Formats: sequence, C-alpha cells, structure tokens
Amino acid sequence: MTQEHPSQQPWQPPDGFQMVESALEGITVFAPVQEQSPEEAPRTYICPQCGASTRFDAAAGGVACEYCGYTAPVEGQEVGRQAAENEFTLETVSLAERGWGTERQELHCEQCGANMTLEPGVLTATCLFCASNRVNVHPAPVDVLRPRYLVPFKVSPDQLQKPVQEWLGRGWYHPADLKTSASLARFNGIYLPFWTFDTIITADWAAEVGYERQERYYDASSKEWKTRTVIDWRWENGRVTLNIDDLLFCASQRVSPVLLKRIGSFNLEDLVSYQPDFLAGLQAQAYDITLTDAWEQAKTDLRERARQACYDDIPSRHVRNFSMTADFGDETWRYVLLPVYLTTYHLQGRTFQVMVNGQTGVVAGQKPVVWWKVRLAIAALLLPGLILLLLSLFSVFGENQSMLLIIGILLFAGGVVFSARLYGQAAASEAA
Amino acid sequence: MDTVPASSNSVVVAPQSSAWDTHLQPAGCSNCRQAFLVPAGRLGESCPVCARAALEPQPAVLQPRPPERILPFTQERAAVRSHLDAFIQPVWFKPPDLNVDRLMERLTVVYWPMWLVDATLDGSWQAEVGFDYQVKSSQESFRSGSWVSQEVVETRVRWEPRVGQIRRRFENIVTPALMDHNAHLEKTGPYQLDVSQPFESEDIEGAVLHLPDMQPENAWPIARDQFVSAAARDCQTAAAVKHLREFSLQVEYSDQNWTQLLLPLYTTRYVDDEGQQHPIWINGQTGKVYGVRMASQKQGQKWGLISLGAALLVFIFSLLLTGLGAVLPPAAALGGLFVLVSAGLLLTAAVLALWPWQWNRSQPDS
Repeated sequence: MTQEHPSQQPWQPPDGFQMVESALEGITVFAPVQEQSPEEAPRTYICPQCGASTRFDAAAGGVACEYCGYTAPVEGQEVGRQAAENEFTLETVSLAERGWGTERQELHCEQCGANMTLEPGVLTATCLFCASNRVNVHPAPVDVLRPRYLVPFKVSPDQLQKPVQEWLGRGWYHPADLKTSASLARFNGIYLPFWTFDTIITADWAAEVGYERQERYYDASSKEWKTRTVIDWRWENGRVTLNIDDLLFCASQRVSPVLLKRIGSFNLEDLVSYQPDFLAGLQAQAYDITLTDAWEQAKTDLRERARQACYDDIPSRHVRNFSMTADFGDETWRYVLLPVYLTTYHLQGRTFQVMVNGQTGVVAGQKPVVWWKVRLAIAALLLPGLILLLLSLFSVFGENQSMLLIIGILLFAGGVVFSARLYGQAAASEAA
Repeated sequence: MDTVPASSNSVVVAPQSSAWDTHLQPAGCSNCRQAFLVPAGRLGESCPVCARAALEPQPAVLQPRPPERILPFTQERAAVRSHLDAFIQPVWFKPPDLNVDRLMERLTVVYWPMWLVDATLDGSWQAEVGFDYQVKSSQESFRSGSWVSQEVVETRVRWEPRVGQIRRRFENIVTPALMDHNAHLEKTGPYQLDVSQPFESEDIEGAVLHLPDMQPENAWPIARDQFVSAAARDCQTAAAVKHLREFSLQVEYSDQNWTQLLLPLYTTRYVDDEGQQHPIWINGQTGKVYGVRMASQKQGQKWGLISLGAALLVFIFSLLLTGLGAVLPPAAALGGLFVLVSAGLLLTAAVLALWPWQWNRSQPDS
C-alpha cells in the first residue's frame, strides 16, 4: 500500500473505465469496461463493384471477386501461439457441456429472399439460388465458445490439381490409369473445429526395479562352477514432468480421423484472430465434440504418455508393481478453426475421399487397390522361403539340409512380415 | 491536508498544576526520561516504567483535549495477586523483596497512551481487486494395472484493476504515542482495543498516566500508514471484493483531530540482592505478567554451604564406619554407602550454589 501526494488536476477515471456500484458511501469505484464481443450477426459477401458473390481467396490473401477482380484485404491480427487460452473454469465447463444443440436453423437470404435450412453447428452458408456467401449464420451457445482464432487457407484450390494428380499416380498396387481416369470433383474448402490443450503433467511413480547381476554358482549335477544372471529388486520412485503445448484435438465427428492424421499437423504460428472474411465462400463447421468430452479423450491419451515417460525414466527394463499418479496442472484450452480441402473422385462406380491440408498442401485420401497385384506380391515374398523349406524336408541337399532349413525358415518368416505389412498398407489406402 | 499536524495545539503544563480537570500533576523520571501525570501523593515514588529513579515534578506537553477513550481494567487485585504468585513461583531462591505481599503493596495503576486520530480523506485511490473462481482439474492414478480418475477443483484469483474517488472521514485511527510502543506491547501482550469506553476523569483517579513522548508531528507517518490501511479496507468493501492488492492512495487529509486512548497497566517492583530495582508489569486487561525475576545468589550459596557441610559430616561418619569395619565387617559396607550419600550431598551443594547464577543468566535484560 502506498501513499502519493494528490495532484492539483481534477480527477478523471482512466480511459476505458466506467463507474460500477459501490457498497460504501463516500467511495466511488470505476472498473474497466467489459470487452464487447464483435458483432456475430450473419454477414453476406457481395462485390461492391459488380454485385457478384465474393469469397476468401488464399492467393490474394483477402476477400476477392472472381468476376471483376475486386480484392479487399482481411484485417486479421496474427497472434500465433500467443493466442489467448482459456482455463477450465467450472462455469465454462458447465456451459461447454451444452454443445451447439441439435435443432436445424432457418435462414433467410437477404440477397434473393430465399429461405434455407441449416444443419446445427454450420457457421457459413451459400444460397442455393443466388450463390451469395454468408458467414456467422449460427450463433455460438456462449461467447467463450465461439471461434476466436483460425489458421487461414494458405493454398488455393487451383494449386491443388497438380499435387493431387501426383498423389494419385503414386503406388504400384493401385490401378495404373488412376491418375488419368479418376474424375476429381471440386475442392471444397472447409474450416474444421479443433480444440487445443495445454497442461503440465507432474507424474510421480513408484515401482520395484530389477537390476541384472552375474552370479557364480556351483552346479552339483555337473560338478562345475557356472555363471548365471540374477535380478536384484528394489523399490524406487521418481518424478517426471511433461509439458504439453497445443495438443490438437479435432472437434468434429464428421471427418475421417484416418485422413486427418495423414494430412499431418498444422503450424499454429499462423493463427490469426477470427474475422468472418476468412470464412467467406468457404464452409465452416462448429464443434460437435464438446470441450469436456474432447478433454476427457485427450487425457486418456496423455496419461498413457505420462506412463510411458515414467517407464522411460526407470533405468532398467525390469519393472514390477508399477504405480503412478499424474497431476494435471495449469490446464488451458482454445477453440480454433483449421483449414482443409475435401474432395472426392469416382472410379469404376465407386467414390473415394481426398483431404488436403489447407495450410501445408499435404494430400491424403482413399485409393482403390488392385488386389491381384497385392496377392501376387505376397506370393512372391513367401515363395522363396517356402521352396527352401520343402527342399530341406525332402533332403535334396543331403548334409546341408539343416542349413537349408534355417535359411528357409528365415526367408519364410521375413516374407510373412513383409506380406502382412504390405497387406496392411494396401487395406489402409482404401480405408477412410 | 497531507501535512504534518501542527503541534502548536499542545500546551505546556507547569509543575504543581493539574491537567484535564483532574488532580494529576506533571512529573518525570530522570532515568528513563518519560513524563507522567501523577497524583500529588506519588511524587517522589519510583518511576512505574523503569523503577530506577524517583518521579520528580516537571513541566509536561499536553494536548488541550483530555483523552477520548479508555480501556477499563478487567483484572481485579485478587486476580493480579494470583498472576504474580504464579509468575514468581518458578524462582527457587527469591530475594527477600520478591514476594507477593510486597509486590502487591507497591502495585500502581498506570495508563499508557496511544493516539486516536480523526481525519477526512479526500482524493483518489487505485488497486487491483481479486475475484475467486474455480477451475476443474484432475489427478489420474495408475494402480494394479488400471487407471482411476479423481476430479480436483482448485480456487484461483482473477485480478482486475479498480480506481475511484474517496471522500470519507475516518475516526479513531489508533497510532502509537510512545517511542517504545512496540517494546511496551511485547511486554504487556496485545490489548483488545474494541472494548474501549469514553473517557471520564474519575476513571484515572489515583492512577499514573504515562504521557506521549511522540508528538503528533512525529507520529504522523505511522498514522498516515494506518489511514491508508483503513482506506484500503473501506475501498475493498466498496468494491465488494474478497481480495485487494497494490493499493495506492492520493488524498488530502483534512480536519485532523488527535486525542488519546489509555491502556490499563499495573506496575510494581522489587529489589534484588544487589539492591537493583526491577519493575514488573501486569496487563490490566489480560493479566499477562512481564518482568525480570532475579534469583538470590546469596540464598543459593547459603543452601549450598549447608549441603556442603552435611556432605562433610556424612563423609567423616563414613570414614569412622570404614575404620570400624576392621572389627565389624558389616560396618565397612555401611561406610561405603555413606560415602555415596556424601557424594550426593556434595553434588547437591554445587547445584544449589550454581542454580541462581544459571537462572539469572536466562532472564531478559531488565
């Protein structure tokens, strides 16, 4: 507490302060004005020059009209990993459990007067009749759970054809004409909802740890001294600290987690503050996995990581009666939107999904497999070992029979391993 | 005004004149330099604070207004007697003067002062205020191959700035009036100030009043800190918050009024072996006793010599028994036993002689 001398100037509250209720006569109280959330009203994107629909253009870095060339830059503030994080307050957790609801929403197009019905949790819409693009069509259930940060698209759809074609052409067990005959649909840019989690895990472990020791002993049956390995067990304990920074967790159940994993991670240094302009003409989905559900799932993964870290901390591979306690501390979260492109292609009457990381351009997707090629390869892998095994069984090579048997077993086992791996890869490339 | 209060309000009271419509006269101690108002009959008695010199008439500087509030004595004389009895009980060899009857004979009723300051604060304040909120966390335990989750709710404080204006009168802000205020409080222990009563001159009839040696201009820095603390508490209440920190105040202090609060104290004294006077203080509200309890070295030495003499007699007797053992063998064994007894008495003599010295070393400086 300090005492300063009063100035002669009449007292004025600092800028940004407003008077609040005082519980005592003779004392006034001024508090900072509460930050008002930006207007979330639906916004329609129309070109001010030609009246056509405008949309976010990753190449132009702003909202652009593809007809007249009009471009308006987006005033998104780059925040990167410094983007504000939220704590798991009881109030937020309680509100987060409500989710976005399940009711569909009616939307009236101001441009052409048409009415649309929107799925719950959809943040953007394009009018089916006049093609006008709209953003913020669905208000968040509470302010803290509206998207505040996003990574803008860095790759534009016209830059995708070549890498996707190249990706289609990769791999020998896919149809040879996949690259030429697959008819790619339009690339749909979509912002997917993600939770990011931070925490510091302090894990205390205790276990019986075994240390190997060579011991000489007298073998009465053979009447000679021998050496054997014994394990000395002793109780040990330790502490491991894991700093989890920006663990990404997809908050949408509607996209393939397999493909999402394959397109790689996102660089959160590119996070910018949310501006509706970034969403113009693109699709954006709100979360349908609630904060609490996502955090519970993430924790399941994190505690296993903590357990592994504890095991790594133990200086021996012999461990028994292991127990640990992981304290999660300083947990924070963010709700962010991350860019991906989704498309499909048709081949031989089947539809295959393709996903592209909208920030890095990494492509992943389903590819049809020509199974006879796979089976042939598996047969080729297994056959040498099998032949050698048979030859050894029929004693064709006389004295070298046992050597042949060992080589045959090794070749066959190697063939089985590689075959299984090949089969897994092939099956995975079809899966989504 | 944020200015030092003027001491020109103080008045000088000459010796042999009464103050505040009481029969008390100003007096002082030449040893501890403290000033008092005492009944005329007590002039020449020992100083109730240091007990090292007599109270002599001398002029005193007083505030024109009499004390405003007084803390009444709640410890009756009978209770004080038992407190003193318990206080001197642990001393094995007491000086002849350290006995309850004599201490009670010399019991003096003393009031010692604190300032009560009133002022109007006018200006602005700023602080950080804290709101409690709760966060959900968890603890995951791995035991016997399975995980157990435990929810943990933690309370944290969210800090926000607040500013405002203050125009408020604060009354009876308690401020030390003695340079040795903290030392006094250490000796007497704390007082419960909220049970004070309005001062009446009859309350101090026959009592000794310790006068402030810290005038308002000297006490003002401490008083101002007390005002800041009081203002911080009020601003916290006004903002309706649980926590407050980084409080700062820019105010003028006007309409200051300085009066006194009197705290009750009994004092008494005794003389040790060397003729040194030692005061004993008893908190008039709680009964806590403070003082230096000197043991009598003379008493210790006397009892030590008696024990030594007894040891010598027993030793001589044991020698006789040992000699007798030549004709009557059991007597030799008895002689050995008496040697041990004499050794015990010798040890006791040493303990008795040394105990007062050791005890006096453990006493605080008087």
